[in-house]
Amino acid sequence: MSKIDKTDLENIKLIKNELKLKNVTSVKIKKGDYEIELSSQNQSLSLSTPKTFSSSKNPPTNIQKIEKTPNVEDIVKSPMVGVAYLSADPSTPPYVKIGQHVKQGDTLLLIEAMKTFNEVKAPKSGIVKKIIVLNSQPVEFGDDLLIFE
Amino acid sequence: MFKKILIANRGEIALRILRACRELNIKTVAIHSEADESAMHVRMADESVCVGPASAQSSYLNIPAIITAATITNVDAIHPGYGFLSENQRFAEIIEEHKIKFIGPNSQHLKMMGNKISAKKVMEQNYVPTVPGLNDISDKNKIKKFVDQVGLPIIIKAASGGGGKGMRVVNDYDELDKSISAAKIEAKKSFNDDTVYIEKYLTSPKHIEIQILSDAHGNVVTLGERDCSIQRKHQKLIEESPSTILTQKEREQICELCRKAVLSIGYEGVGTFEFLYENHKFYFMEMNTRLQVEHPITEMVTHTDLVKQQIIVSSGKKLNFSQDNVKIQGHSIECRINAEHPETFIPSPGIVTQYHQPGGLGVRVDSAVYQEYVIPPHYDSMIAKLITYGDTREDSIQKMKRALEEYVIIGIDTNIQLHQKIIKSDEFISGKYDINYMSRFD
Repeated sequence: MSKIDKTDLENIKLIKNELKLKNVTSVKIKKGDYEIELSSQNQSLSLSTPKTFSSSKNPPTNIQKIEKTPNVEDIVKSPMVGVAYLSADPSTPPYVKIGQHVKQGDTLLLIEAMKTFNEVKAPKSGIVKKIIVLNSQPVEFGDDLLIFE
Repeated sequence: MFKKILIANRGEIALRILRACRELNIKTVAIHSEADESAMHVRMADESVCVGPASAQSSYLNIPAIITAATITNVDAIHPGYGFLSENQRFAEIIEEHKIKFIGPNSQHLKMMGNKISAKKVMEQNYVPTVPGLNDISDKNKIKKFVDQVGLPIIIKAASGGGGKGMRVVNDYDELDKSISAAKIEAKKSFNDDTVYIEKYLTSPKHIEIQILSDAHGNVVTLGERDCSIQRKHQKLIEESPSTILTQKEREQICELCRKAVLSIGYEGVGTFEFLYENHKFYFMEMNTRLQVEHPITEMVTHTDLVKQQIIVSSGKKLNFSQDNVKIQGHSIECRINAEHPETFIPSPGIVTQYHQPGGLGVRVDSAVYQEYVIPPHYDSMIAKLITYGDTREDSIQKMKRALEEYVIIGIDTNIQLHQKIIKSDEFISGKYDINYMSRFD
């Protein structure tokens, strides 16, 4: 584990001043792929190297506020515990991509559990907005896998 | 006799082998993955070694780790159980090279039977009836001639295949080329070998298999048959012995052919000849060169401890009984209890919050499950084998009905209800079911 050093503190100060943040409530530093996250009461921003201060000219708002919470019926949840796979095997392209229109019953991904590969099918027709699960990621029953628009 | 055996497996079969070892005064070494630290086979073994993380590929299939575990614990033999590395020729070879005994046939026999085309050839040479087939499919005229001869449908199979992969049933001659290419691609992907062959497709056969046991001194016995026709997607679900439809003469004839074949190739250990059986004819499919999941029903009707016998002959001792001593008495049924939904078949790992297993006369449960045990999602869904034994088939069925009712497994889904449905069905009771029986539940 690496220690917090002077540069980190300077960077925090820099970000704080640059963004005119007040009331910083928490600070998070991640050293792999260097990342600093500052949260203030109404604001939360994270920056990773290379630092791109220019992009922070937009009025800082809470990220979570931008994203609308998706409707429950738009979320595809895992029907079982296992390992999720986005394609039939490593050499083939994924079943679905973001922005793709799928029909009800189309295969979205596979979940491997107890030596069997189980297809997770689209509960409805629609456009894939977000694929939450990563390839070969372990998932539990009820975990969110994918979101429809 | 061996002093210490490493059991290269998990779950109920690891426990089954451990029990046999204990009765033979042999010390046991369990191997396990990180996910199986609190598994029953680990708790009951004299020693245990963790051989890798949860995934089977890096633990129960991890040959270097298992060999290292065997070396540091100083065992004289390794029992592979079934599945995992039990039919892996390379594993058997490496064990032989390490001067440790592989409890199973020698690696040459694993190779011979591992390839389905070569296994069929060996059987044909020994007059064991096989499914009419064509191995060389490079010549279209030959294929045409073959199809004219046996008629449609035919089935395309992968030479290195198993578990239904690389298989295609062809009903229409025009579809043949397309199906061959599709089967080749699938076979290449699954087994890294795109060799496929063609066979006559039997539409409604039974799956009947013959158990054999052989020592290194040329003594071979057959231990009757098992009817394993209740299967879903090539996975057996219920087995029974003896079969309801074989005549004594048919049984003796096929057993004798198997016995002679084993003798002629010099095979050693336990083994199973799998046949399809239709219109009073047997068709050899493959030989399993290991202990079978369903071996207990043979143990029940022959009063023979197959695992103990397997270990004894593997140590170089002579079989202590002959064919004349083998008497098939009574009737036995096995239900494979899987952690899966009884209707959707969705796997259901998780914690067993309540567990009560049935008992009483003629009821046997082979399982490594206990209350509060967490069934990991990484391995097979079979968590228990419920076996009943009665003087007659009716008695055995009656006991199975009672035992299934008594079995309590709470916290996860199991297929107990499915078994209850099957056992009560007219077709099962009549005994006239074939391998298509389970298709009605899909």
